[in-house]
Amino acid sequence: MVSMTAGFVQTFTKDCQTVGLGSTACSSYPNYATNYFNTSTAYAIEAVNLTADGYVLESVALKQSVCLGYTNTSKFCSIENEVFIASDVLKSNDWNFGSPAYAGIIGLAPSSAVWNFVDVNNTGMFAYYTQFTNNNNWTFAEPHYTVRSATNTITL
Amino acid sequence: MNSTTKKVQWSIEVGCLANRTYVNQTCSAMSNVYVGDGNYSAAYPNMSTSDSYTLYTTENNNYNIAGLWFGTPDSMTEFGYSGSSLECDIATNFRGLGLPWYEWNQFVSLLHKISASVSQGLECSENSCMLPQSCESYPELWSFQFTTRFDIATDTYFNVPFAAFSVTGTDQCEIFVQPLIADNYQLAENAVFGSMWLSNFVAYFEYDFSGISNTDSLMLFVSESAVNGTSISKVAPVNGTTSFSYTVESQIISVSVNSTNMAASINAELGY
Repeated sequence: MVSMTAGFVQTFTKDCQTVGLGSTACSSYPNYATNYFNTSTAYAIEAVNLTADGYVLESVALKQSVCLGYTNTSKFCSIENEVFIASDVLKSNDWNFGSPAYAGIIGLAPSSAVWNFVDVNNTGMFAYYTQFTNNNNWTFAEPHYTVRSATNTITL
Repeated sequence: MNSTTKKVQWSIEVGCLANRTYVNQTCSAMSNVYVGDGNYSAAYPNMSTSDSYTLYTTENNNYNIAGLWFGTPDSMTEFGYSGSSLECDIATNFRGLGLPWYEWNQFVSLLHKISASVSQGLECSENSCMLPQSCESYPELWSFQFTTRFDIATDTYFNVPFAAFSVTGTDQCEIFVQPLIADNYQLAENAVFGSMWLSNFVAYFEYDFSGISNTDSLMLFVSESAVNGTSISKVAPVNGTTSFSYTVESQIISVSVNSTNMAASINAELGY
């Protein structure tokens, strides 16, 4: 999920749990996150608590080479190790209850690590361009509403 | 990052989200995200000619709201109370307009004062407000708009038609102006301007990493797929109440006293 205001790249751990009314996997209702990242493969820096885009998360900051791209196709990879966030506890989902949290948040705020490895070649061309028919996985109140949505995700 | 200028740019255009025949909106344009130092004026030919305004974030990565109004252009009511302040998050993963509990109650109260058919049919929940007939059945609503002033030092006003937050369904008109309830949400103090608001603008970000000064900015300009009536204007809202002239029937207020714990409670219908 692309965020306009998050200053980090965040993903969910393999064992991420939702807390609150009945502990459950982050991949289950109501969050539908993609639980996959194995934190043992990266260098842990510190524990961090995040609040962004309606999610409240307990996480750990890690440092490792990061790639962004479509599934199984890395488009951009960092030259150096970058700090990114792996969340193992999802405490609150205020805005997207019942809608997918996908693999995490790619923050595009100034402090995000994304800017360390996007457009490093100074080509004058767009480093990334995507077109989609909608940016949300809408859950319409009525089933016959026209869904114009595809996806708003860039796979981490 | 551009290694010469130490700047990065990116933009997002949410595009049209729903066909709304009652305000002559038919979707055609798709959404776009550009990242990098490409030619944005070529990607958005109306970038230099459209109304625009540049915002700067607060320390919390939010945007200050210096004023938020609802009404018709000739008669608008400002939200909040004396001394209140509001920040907002602009987020694509929030559907409509999210308002803190106090402001949302003001909004619902105002909706009830627009017409008898609206007041009698309106049902609001934590997710949206619903009217029992199609949006075409409530033409009195579509001259209303939200007006936002982000910077108290500058007379620039963002006008977004109320229709931008509506979707028509089977004999229903759904309005995505949602309360952010502190008991349910940990993020309930700020307003959230979601996709339905942002769909009327193109958001162009520019970050400066040169270290000289913090000039990170968000320029918003009116999208070609905006709902008709969207504007970034220098004309201040006209404060008034004539657009909210419908009088709701009087409500019974009940007072109950609990003699055991010496407590009294007052009950009434919400928001009239």
